[in-house]
Amino acid sequence: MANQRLTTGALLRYIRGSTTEKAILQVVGIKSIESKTDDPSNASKRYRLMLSDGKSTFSSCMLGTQMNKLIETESLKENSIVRIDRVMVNSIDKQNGRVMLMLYELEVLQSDSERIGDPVALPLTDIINNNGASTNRLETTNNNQAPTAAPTPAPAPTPAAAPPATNVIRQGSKALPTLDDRKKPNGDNRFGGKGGNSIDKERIINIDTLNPYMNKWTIKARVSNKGAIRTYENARGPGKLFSCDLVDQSGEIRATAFNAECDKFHSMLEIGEVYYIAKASLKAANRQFNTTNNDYEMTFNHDTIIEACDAGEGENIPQVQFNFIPISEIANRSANSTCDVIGVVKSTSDMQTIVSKASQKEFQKREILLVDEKASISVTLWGQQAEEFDGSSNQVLAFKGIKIGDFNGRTLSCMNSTLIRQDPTETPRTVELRVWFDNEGKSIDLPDLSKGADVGSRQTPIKTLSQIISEGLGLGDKPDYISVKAMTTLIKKDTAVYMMCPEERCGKKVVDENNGSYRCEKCNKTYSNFKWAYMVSAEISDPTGSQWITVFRNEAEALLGVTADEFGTHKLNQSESIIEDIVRKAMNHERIFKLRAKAEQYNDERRIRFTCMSVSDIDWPSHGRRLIDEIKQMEPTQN
Amino acid sequence: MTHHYRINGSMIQQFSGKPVSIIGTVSKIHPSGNVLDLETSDQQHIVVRSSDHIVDVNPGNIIEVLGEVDNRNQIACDTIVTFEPEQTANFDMDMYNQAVMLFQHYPQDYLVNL
Repeated sequence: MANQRLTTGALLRYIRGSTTEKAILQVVGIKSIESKTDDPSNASKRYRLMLSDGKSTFSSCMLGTQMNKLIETESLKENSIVRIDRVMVNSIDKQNGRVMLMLYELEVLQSDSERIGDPVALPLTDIINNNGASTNRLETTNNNQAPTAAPTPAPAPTPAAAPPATNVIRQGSKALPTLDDRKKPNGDNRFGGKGGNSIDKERIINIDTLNPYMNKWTIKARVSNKGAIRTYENARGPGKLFSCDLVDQSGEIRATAFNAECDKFHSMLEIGEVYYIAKASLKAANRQFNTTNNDYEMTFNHDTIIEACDAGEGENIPQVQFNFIPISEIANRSANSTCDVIGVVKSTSDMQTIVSKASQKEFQKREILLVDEKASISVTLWGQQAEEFDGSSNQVLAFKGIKIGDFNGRTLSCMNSTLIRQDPTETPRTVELRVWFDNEGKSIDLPDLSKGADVGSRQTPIKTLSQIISEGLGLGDKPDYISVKAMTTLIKKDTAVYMMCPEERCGKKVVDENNGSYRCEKCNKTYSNFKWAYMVSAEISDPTGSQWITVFRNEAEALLGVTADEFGTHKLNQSESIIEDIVRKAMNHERIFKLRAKAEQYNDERRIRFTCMSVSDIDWPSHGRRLIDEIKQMEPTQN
Repeated sequence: MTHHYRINGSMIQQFSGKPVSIIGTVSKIHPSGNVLDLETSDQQHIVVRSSDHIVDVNPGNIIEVLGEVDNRNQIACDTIVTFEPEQTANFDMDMYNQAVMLFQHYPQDYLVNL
C-alpha cells in the first residue's frame, strides 16, 4: 500500500477544539484500561491510544468501545495509520492540561507500517495556553517551561522555589501561592473579582480615556517609574504605600498601592516591563504630589488584577520618553520646575546628614557632580537612593522629572517621583557622553551652575512678557528676576530726566526754587546746583505682550545712548527735535532686558513695579541656540 | 523679490529648479572669476556660477548666495551677499544648519511672504 502522509498539527488542533477535521494519524502506542465505571456484568476493556501526527504525539486518546474489535483482530495495532472520522475533546481539568481525545469513529487505512517521523510529545504549555477565558492565569513573561518528557498530561512539577511573596502562578502548578488563603465564597480566589479572574484583552483602552465612571476596563501599560515603599501614620494608624507611573501610547497615569496591595504588587512590578491592569480605582489626581499629565490617578485595590505581558506583546507600548535639556539650559529654567537631564557622574560626595529646620527630621543625602559637554551641575540624591549609590564607575545617569533648585545658582534634587536610569540604552546620548567623557570630559573643568558664579546672567530665566501675567511674577514675597527679549515701543520723554540732589548718595528729587537754588527735603539742605538723573518710563513689547518698566542710571544711558546730563541739557534748551531723535533711535529694535519684578503697596493699591537691571544687545548665536533647544524640547521624539 | 528657500548642501537635489539661498564659506574662486566653490553649512561642497564677475569675495569669507539650482546640482547665482567681518565673526554655522533643517521639518511654522 502507498505510504500515507500524516496530518501534521492535527493533534493540537483537535485539542483546541477544531474537531471537524478528518486527520490522518499514526498509532504509536496502545494501552488497555479496565473500565470500572461500566456496569459490572460487562467489564469491557477500554483502550487508550497514543497517536502521532508526524510531529507531535498525544497519549490521552480513548478509543470508543465499539471499535475495540479493531484491536482485538489486530487490524489496529502499533504503527497503524488511521483516519479519524469523529472525535470529541473531553476536558477534565483544562487548567492543568488534562484533556482527552475521545475517538468515536475511525478507519484503519493501513494496519502495518513503519514509524513515520520522529514525533515528540505535545508540550503541556501548548495544551493549556489556548484554553480560553476560564483559565486562571497570573504569570510572568517566562512562563514557557520546557515540554515535559513523559507523554502524560500530568501537571508540570511545581517549580522548586516559587517565591511566596509574589503573586505568580506558574504553569500547571496546583499550589496557588497566595499571601492569604482566603477564597471568596463563590469559589473565586482573590486575584480576581467575581465573574472572571483574568484580563479581558478585548477591552484594552488608552490610559488617557480612563475616568472614575467606567466599569470594565483594561489597560496595557509600561511601568516607567516605581517608587520605594514608604511608611506613614495617620489617624487610622500606620500604613505603607508605593507609587508607580504607568505609560502607554496615549499618555501616563500615577498609580498607588496601599498596605496589602502595596506588598502584593511592589515586588511584582518591574520598571520597564509591560503589564495588563484591570479593576483599579480612579480618582482626581492630587496635584500636590502628582505632577503626571493626567486628571486622574489610580489606586490598586483588593480587586485589582495585574498580569504581565508576554514577551513581544508589549512592543507597541512606548518606552520611557526622555526630553533631555543640556545642563547649561537649566540656568534658564525657573526653580521648583522639573526637567529631564542626562550626564556623566564626574564625582560623588560622601553621605551627609542634614537636619531639616522645619521638621527637625534628619535626612541623608549625597551630592553628585553631573557633567555634560558644556556644563556641570550638582545633583542631590536622598535616603536609600543616596546610600546605595556608587558613582565610582563614572556612569551615565539620566533623570526624568528631577527638580531644579536655585541654591547658589542652579542645582538638581531628586524627588520620590524622579526616574533615574543608569546608562540608558534607549537614547544615543549615553554613548555620546561616554565617548566624550572618556576622551576629554574627565579631565576638563566645565562651567558649574552650582557654584554661584556669574550670578548675573546665569540666574535670570528668559521669559516672554505674557509669562509675567501667566506666572504671576512679582506677586511673591521676594522679587522675581527675569530676562526678556523685547523692543522699546514707547518712551515718556518728558519725564525721562529729573533734577536730582547733588549729594552723593541722596538721589532725591530737588525742588527748583527758581532763584538758582535747589532744595532737597531729604537732606534738608539747599543747593546751588543739581544733577540730572534718569528715571525713564518706557514700554517694552515682545510678540506676546507689553509691559511698562522703569529704567534708571546706567541702564537708561545704555538705552538712550546719551548721558542724563546731555539729555537734561537738551531738555533745558528745549531741543525737541534732538530729543525726538534720541528717543527714536532707542525704540523699535530688540534688546535683552533684565527686569526685577516686585509688588509694592501704594495706599490701597498693590502694584507690581518693573525695574530694569540691565539692557544688552542680543547675542544672536546664543539666542538661536537657545531657540533650537526649546524647539527640540517640544518635539515628541526622543533625543 | 521672490522667496528664496534657505537650504544646505544635502537639500540641493530636492530644490532643483527652485530659487534658493545658501549660506556658506568660500573655499575657492576659480581662475575664470565667475565660478566659486562654496562649503555649505553641512560641510558639503557645491559649485556656484555667477552671471557676473565675482568681486569682493575671498576664500574663507562667509557669503550668502541667491540663485537657482540647475540641472547639474550647481547654483546659477544672480546675487552674492557679502558681510562685514564684524557681522560674521560670531556666526554659528552649525546653528544655522540646524535652523535650516528645522525650516524644512516644520514648513507650516516657518513663515515667508507675510
